Amino acid sequence: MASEICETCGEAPATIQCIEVVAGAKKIRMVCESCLAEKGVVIDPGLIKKTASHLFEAIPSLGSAHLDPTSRNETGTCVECGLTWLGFKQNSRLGCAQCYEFFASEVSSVLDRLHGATQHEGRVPERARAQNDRRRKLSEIRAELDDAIRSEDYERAARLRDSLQTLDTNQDEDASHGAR
Amino acid sequence: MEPADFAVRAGQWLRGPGPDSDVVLSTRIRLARNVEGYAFPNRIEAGARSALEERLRQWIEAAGMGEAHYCNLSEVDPLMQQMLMERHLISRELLQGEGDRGVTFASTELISIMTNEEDHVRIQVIQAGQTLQAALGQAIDLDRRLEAQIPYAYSDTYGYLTACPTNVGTGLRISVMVHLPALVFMDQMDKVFQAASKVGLTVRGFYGEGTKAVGDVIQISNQQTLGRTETEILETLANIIPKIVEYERGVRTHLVNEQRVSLEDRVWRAMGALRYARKMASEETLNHLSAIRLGVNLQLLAGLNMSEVNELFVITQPAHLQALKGRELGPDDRDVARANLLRERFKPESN
Repeated sequence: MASEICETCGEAPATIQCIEVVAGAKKIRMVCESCLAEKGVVIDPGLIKKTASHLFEAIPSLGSAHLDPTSRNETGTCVECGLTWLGFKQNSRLGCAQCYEFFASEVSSVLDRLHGATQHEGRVPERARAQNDRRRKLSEIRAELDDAIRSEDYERAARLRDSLQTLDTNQDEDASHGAR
Repeated sequence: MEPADFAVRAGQWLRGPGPDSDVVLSTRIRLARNVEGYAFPNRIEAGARSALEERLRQWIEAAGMGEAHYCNLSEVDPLMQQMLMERHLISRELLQGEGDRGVTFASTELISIMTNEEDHVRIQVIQAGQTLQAALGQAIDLDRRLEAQIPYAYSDTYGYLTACPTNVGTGLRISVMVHLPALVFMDQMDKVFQAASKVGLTVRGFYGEGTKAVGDVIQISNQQTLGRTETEILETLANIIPKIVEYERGVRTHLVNEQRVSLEDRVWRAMGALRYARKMASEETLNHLSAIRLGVNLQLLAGLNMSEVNELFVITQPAHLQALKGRELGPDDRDVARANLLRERFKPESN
């Protein structure tokens, strides 16, 4: 780090970077220890040690996931919310819905331990139920369409293709309706 | 809604009579839900959190809760926050949280929805007595109405997604609050704990997770939320609660028949303290109230109204006392105010 002069006294070398919050706005200032002490802030060496060790713990999680989504597997950071598995272990909370997919294998073993199960058996929201029904319907029609083409029943295939298109259009409409 | 409006009465769930209310104080249903497209509250950015809080408020209003109140916890004073918690309308976690977060509760206080707590949405239905079926039915009904408004975070594999994996799946926690003074008196609580844990249930104190079992009141609730249906979870409790109720009743009868003097001694000592003490700490109060409840149930005490005894469990809590007095009170002053309130409620002439 380049040696800087304390912003307060303008004499001593600035050894401490402090973040001042004024009316919700953050300002970063470089100050010396004695000027900081004058403001009533005394640096406790124990705290520095603690803070430093927290920093070291945090370093592996300072991934660049937000900048480069493709690197998520290397950094182990959820691409959506930036949580690391270490972060989860520290406060037992996942950060977002995507964490469940991103940390799927870890989550699955945690769930097995907690619930003795890894598959939901309870209620299904109407939205998801409708989507599942449509998905099932689509794959049924596709199978029939394949069958119709194989048996060269082109009239039936055309009918099936039409109903596939109708279902697809509906889904698009629903998707745009659900988007926020 | 002002603290003073709350000070003299507890919520209907504690006042009202309900099935098996000699032993079961209340049945509480909680559903944890999150909103698709937003990080969970522990990782959401302040701006998104505020926007979501407002959005949720509108969605909840649209879903319809009857006559209801909304409080943004970041805007109400600490006394009101504490009162909401003492009334079981919000959790300690919501109270201690930061940033925009709130609660919408029905005027009856039988339904409340916390927003931006550990999860975006926490639905609570709380009813007097043992009402497992009815309470779950009401919670699911409200959830359906919310679901029509709110795009919930849901996966076919894991069900309703929650910040803590202990709640994922159904997001359902059923808690039955039971008053077991006879079992405590006869040192039989270990058997209740064992029976509960054998079927995967957990036991907690009056104010939920991490709180002590004061006043001989415990909450029994399910731990597993994933891999079983809502009905299966309900059945686990529906199987064990009647057994605990019968066990407590049996021991109460035994006490009346075989140890009447010891039992009366316990009840009347409590009455003596409540009638005459000049300073009364919160925990001591709950222990005496427990004995009084038992005395009323066993008809050892006449002329006392059970719902008035029940509500003292809540209105003798610190924030309620301060709201009643209309000013902040230190611990010592609270003990004096509490003793005054209790002396008034239990004075011999009124019986």
